[in-house]
Amino acid sequence: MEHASKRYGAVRALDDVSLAFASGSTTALIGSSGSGKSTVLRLLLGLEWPDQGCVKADGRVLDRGDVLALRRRVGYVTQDGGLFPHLTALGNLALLPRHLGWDAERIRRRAQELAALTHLPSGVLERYPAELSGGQRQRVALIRGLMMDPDALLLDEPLGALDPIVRHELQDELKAIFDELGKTVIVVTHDLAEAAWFATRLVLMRSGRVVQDGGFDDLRDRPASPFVTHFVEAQRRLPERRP
Amino acid sequence: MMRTWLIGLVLLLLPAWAGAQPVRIGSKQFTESVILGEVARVSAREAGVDAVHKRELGGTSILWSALRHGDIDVYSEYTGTLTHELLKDVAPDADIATLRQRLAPLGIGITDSLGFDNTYAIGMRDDRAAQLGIRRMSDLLAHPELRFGFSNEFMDRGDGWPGLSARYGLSGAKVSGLDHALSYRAVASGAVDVIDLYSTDAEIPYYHLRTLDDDRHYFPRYEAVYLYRLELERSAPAFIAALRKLAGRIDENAMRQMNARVKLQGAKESMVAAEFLGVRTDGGDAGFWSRLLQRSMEHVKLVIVSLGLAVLLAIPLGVLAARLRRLGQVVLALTGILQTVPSLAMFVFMIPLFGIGTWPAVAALFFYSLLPIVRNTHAGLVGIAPEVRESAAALGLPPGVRLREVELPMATRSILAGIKTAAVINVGTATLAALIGAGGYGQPILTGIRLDDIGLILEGAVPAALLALVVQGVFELVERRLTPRGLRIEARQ
Repeated sequence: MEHASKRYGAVRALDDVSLAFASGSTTALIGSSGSGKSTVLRLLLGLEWPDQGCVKADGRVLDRGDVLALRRRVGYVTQDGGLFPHLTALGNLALLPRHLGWDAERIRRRAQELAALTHLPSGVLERYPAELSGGQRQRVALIRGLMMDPDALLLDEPLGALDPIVRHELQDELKAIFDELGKTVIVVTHDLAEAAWFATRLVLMRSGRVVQDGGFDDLRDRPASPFVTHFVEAQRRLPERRP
Repeated sequence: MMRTWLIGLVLLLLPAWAGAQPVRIGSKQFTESVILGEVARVSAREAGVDAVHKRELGGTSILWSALRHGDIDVYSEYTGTLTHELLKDVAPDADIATLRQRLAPLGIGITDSLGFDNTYAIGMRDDRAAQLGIRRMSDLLAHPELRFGFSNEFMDRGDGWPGLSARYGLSGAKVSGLDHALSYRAVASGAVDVIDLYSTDAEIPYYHLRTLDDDRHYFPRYEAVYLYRLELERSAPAFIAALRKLAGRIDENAMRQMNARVKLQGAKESMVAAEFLGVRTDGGDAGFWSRLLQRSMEHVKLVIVSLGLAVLLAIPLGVLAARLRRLGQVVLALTGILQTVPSLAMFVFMIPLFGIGTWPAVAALFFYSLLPIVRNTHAGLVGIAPEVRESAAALGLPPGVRLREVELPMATRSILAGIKTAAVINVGTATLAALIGAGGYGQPILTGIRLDDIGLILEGAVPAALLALVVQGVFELVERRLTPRGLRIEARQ
């Protein structure tokens, strides 16, 4: 993404942002809500178009003609999973592969393979989204993103709606999956600890701009501005045990 | 499944197209006109001519335009209506020979007078008139407290109330509009004091009414005649000969008695007509069940065809409205405006476009069905959570697949609810289709109102209500079958 800017009415969602994501790397976009981190993902998927600047994939400027092909090479998981309520979990997974000509058996095999990877009991695939727990829903959404074996995975607060125990469990699993698959991963979160757990590269955003781009140690030890220090220190620590 | 459905539809529609043309006789929506229609039909039968009687099609303007457009071949009219209402620039006292000359260029023929003059008259209850000392119409001027109740047609037409009030200086009078069939009961019960009448009305003696003397000679003569399309002289000469033979045979008393037989004694028009002509009745009135079946077929046909066509147009319109916001507003506004057209007016508007009978009724019902379906399709699509719509886009599905696999299934329930609303409204509104000759359950309701026969009204109203319930039930079943299971589970939580 080069010099990308995006406005929604009077709100400047992105202001001259340039970011490059190396193939196979894992990056976390962090910042408070409204900082522009989700907008980055939406621009990368061609769900929105920049007012200025451009988005490139494999060195080519993205245009409206090739977004469908691009999106099929990218898995996308949102906070609530974005599952289609009228289809079973398997129906959700099958939608795109079936459109691309996969037969039912191939779809089923792929779904079961990914269910094993994400520790999802395969019986769950027959259920409707309304019958799934929050953690199961996010697993199904992740499987849906991985069905076509995409080059990249974009996750927008994938664990944001889960309770702390499930969230902790899924953090472990996701990290393992990212490591195992070796795909380009961009994960959006407002939780610094989660970001540092997933990624070695953190991009801290504020009001549509990149404030600092580096490792966790850089943010903690070499803050680019007082805001970075403030953001790092705002993460609450557990109280220490009293003597 | 789809095939049988289509075949059924074609079978329903077939009778509308098939068959050689019999002579089509029309009648207005009052008893005398229906009786004269039957007299013409029975005469045709006796002359060996195949004829059908499209009963109670509406008021003068509907019959006149139906005759001119060739939707009917013949109906009974009155000379006064021709001179004052239908023909321009003709002397108010023109004789029939003059009228014949004036009608010929329009392709319309006219018989000689049937033998009676059914002029408009003004009437009051005899006792009330005696109490106030009113004998002549000019006496009304001295009683501004009197309440006038006039049929809507009489209030509007040039030879009706506007001219009359000017002639007698009655423009300050309190006037309300009434259905002519109800006005006798209104005057008998004292709800109004003065009504318009026809001089051959059977109710004049029955309700002890007095017709007031037209002392300023306002009302023109209303000689009864048949109007027919001139091409019948070539295509059905036997029928025209039979029609002409009726001239001069029905005097005022004979007509009043026929009216009384039907309106007050409940005899069938076909029987009264046959009695008058001295021929056997043809049992033209079928038994209750076959009548009911016939009307049910007509009614269901109107509803199914109009609804089917509306679904075909309204769902794409709803999709378009949901996709293109600006255009959507326009589409919703336009269909909304269609919905505000009073239903009777909607039916009448269709006549110049589609003539009379089934098709204008289907068109009117079609327009009424659009709004609920368009609105619900639009609402169903717009109501889908943006995250869900976006995740379908982010998957890389093309817009058409998104619509078919995700958006329409998720909007199913809303769309079906729209179709159900349209269907139930249609069942009710289709009862008005009888006014323009499309039959259905409205036919007995119309006749029942005209004859003041509650039983007959119920014969149309009860099946219509039952049909509405059946439609409701059927749609609930369909909704259960078609709504995706996942959505039902979601709705339960």
